[in-house]
Amino acid sequence: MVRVLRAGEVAPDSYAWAIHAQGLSVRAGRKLAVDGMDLCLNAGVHGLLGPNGAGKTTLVRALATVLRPASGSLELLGQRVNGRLDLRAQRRQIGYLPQEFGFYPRFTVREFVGYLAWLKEVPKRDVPGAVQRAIERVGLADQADDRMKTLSGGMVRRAGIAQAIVNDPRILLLDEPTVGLDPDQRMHLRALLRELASDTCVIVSTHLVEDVVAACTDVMLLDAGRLAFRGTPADLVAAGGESGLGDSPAERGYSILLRQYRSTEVHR
Amino acid sequence: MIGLELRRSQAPWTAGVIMGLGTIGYFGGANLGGGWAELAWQQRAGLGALWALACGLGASQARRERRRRLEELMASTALPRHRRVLPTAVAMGLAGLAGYFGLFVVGAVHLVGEDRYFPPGVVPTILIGALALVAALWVGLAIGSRLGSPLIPPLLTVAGFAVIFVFPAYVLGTRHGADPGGALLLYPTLSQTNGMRTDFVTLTGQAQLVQLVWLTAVAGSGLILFAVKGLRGIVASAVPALAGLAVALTLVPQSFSAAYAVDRGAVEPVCTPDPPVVCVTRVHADDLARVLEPVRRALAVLTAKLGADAPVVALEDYENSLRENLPPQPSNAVVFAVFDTPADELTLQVLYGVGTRPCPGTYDKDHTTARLVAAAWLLGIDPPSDMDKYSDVGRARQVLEHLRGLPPDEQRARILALRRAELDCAPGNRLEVLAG
Repeated sequence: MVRVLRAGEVAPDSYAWAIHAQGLSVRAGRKLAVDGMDLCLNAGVHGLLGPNGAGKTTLVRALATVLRPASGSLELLGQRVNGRLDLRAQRRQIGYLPQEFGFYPRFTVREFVGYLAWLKEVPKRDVPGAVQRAIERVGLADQADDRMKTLSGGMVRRAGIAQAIVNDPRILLLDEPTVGLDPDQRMHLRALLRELASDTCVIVSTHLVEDVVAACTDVMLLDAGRLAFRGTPADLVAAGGESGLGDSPAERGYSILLRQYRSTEVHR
Repeated sequence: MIGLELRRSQAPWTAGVIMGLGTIGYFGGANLGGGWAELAWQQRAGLGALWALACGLGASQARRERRRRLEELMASTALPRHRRVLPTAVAMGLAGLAGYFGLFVVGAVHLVGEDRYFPPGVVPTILIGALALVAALWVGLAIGSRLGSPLIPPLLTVAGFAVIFVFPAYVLGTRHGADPGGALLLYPTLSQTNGMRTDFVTLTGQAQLVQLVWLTAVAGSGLILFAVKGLRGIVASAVPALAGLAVALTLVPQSFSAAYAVDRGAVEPVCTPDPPVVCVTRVHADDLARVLEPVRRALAVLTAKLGADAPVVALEDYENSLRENLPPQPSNAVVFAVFDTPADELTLQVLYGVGTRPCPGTYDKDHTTARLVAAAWLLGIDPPSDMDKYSDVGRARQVLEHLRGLPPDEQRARILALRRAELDCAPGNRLEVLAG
C-alpha cells in the first residue's frame, strides 16, 4: 500500500533512546509497584515478563503517560514526561492497548479506530487511510464496518491493536495483546510485531513466555517492581537448559531466572 | 466527529425520548385544540418533567467513558479533554433542540394552514424552552462526568423533579395561587398566575430577556464544568452562572404576574360589519361565527327588556386576563368571554350581571347571586340550578320572585341600577340593589 510519508517519519531521531528511565518509581495505589527502575529502549520488540503483581501493568501505564512517576526520571522520545503538564507531543507518538480494553459497542470497527485516530491527533486528511491500513494489518478488513459489539473476543483484541497502531506510533505499548487470540492469530500478531520492530519501540507485556521467545528482540523480567533480568530470548532459553520445572526451555529459564534473582535479593 | 456522535451517542435516543414523552404529555395533559400561544404555553409549562429527565440523560451520556472502561485509553491520548468532549456536548445539545422543536411541530400540525393569529412572543418562548433543555443536558453531562456513580443519572432526574415541582409549589406557594415574585422566571417552566388566560397574554420582552440571560449562563456553566477538568473547571464554571444570575436578578420584575402583559396583537377586535356589532379578539376570530347567534340573541333580549337604555354592542372581554389594572367597561356594550360554552348557555352567560364583567375582588355569594338573578329576569326564566356553583339558587329564586312582583318600570330601574353598579365597580351589596 502506498502512502505519503510525513516529514517527521523520515527525519532522523534527535534522541538517543525512545524510552529512557532512570530510577523510575511508580505508585499503584499506595504501593510502589515500580521501584527504582532503569531502562534504555529503542526500536525493537521488548517482552515484559513477570509474575502477577510484578509491576508490568504499572510500568506500561507509566510509559503510556497515564500514571505519573512518583520519583526518578522518565524520558519518552527525548522529552522528560514527569512534571510536564503538556504531553500532547509525546502522546501523539504513543500507541497503547490497555490490559482492560474498553470500547463503544455501537461504533463500527472503522468508526472506533477512526475515533482513536482523531484523539491521537492524526491529521484529518490522513485518518481514512491510516484507519484502513491499521484494520488491514490486524486482519479485520472484512469486519471493518461491523459494530464492535458483534465482534468475538479475539476480534475485539485485534481492534484494540488496530487502534494502538493507527497513529504509526514510535512507542507501542501492548498489555496482554495475545489474550483471546487463537494460535493462528497469535502467529499473525507476532509477524506484525516483527514488522513494526524496525522503526518502533514495542513493549509487550505478557504471561506467555512462548510469545516472548517467538516475537521479541529482548526480554525484561520484572519482579516486585524491579528488573530481575534483561537479555535476549536466546539467553532465556539457555538459562532454562534441558530439564527442570516447566514444559519448554524458555519457561524453565523464566522460573530459574526468577528464583535466582529472588535468592540474590534475599541475600542482599 | 459531531456526525459520529450524533449517530452513536445517546443523542438520537435523547431526542426521541424528549419528543416521545412530550407528545404523550400533550395527549395526556390537555387539548391540542388551542392556538399558537396555548401551544407555546403548554410546551413551556410542561417542560418541567422533560427538563428533569434531560439532566439524567445528560449524566447518563457523560458516564459513557467510565461505563465502557475507556478512561484508561483516553488518558493516554493527545487531544485535550475539552476538544474530546465538545462533539458529545454539541450532539447532545442538538438532540435537545431537535426533540423540543420536534415536539413543537407535533403540536403545531393542526395549526398549519389555518389562518390563526400567530403571536410573535411564541418564537422566543419556544427558543428559550429549547435553550432550557440544552442547559439541562449540559448540566447533566457535567455532573455525570464529575460524579462517577451509576446512581447519579436517576438521582439527578429525581432532584430535577424536586427542584421543578416541589420548590415553587410548596416553598414559594404557587399552589395556593400566591405570587412567588419575579425570580420565578429563573425557572425553565412557566407558571400560570391567577386567572390568566394564556391566549391573551405574552411574556414581556424583559421577562424573556431574564430567561435568555440566565439559561444561557447555566448552559455555559454546564459546558465548562463538563469540558474543563479539575478544580479549574469548577472555578471557571461558576463565572457564567454567577454573572448570569446577577444580570438576571437586576432585570426581574417585582411580581411574577408583571412578567406577563396583554398581547395587543392578540386582542385586537375583529367585528361583524353589520349591526348589532359583535366583536371578538383576533386570537378568537375563528369563534366569531359560532358565538354570533347566541350573543346577538342576548343583545336582542336586552333591547326588548331595557329599551333605549340597553347596550347595543357586544365585545369579547380580555381585560380580566391579568386581573390587574382593569380599565372601565364601556357603558354601551356588553362584554362576554369566549370559551367552549354551548350556544344556549352563552346567551345566559352574556346576560349575567346585565352583560358586565365581575369586578375584581367581588366573588362573594350575594354578588354572584345578584348577577344570576339579573340574567334570569332578562330571559324570563327560573334561575338554572346547575349553572353556577358560586350562586345561592334558593336565594336567587326568592329575590327574583320579589323583583317580578314590583311594577315593570321599577323592575327595569333596579336591573339598570345593578348594571350601573357593576360597570362602576361600586361598593355595596348587589342583592340589595335588586331586592331593595
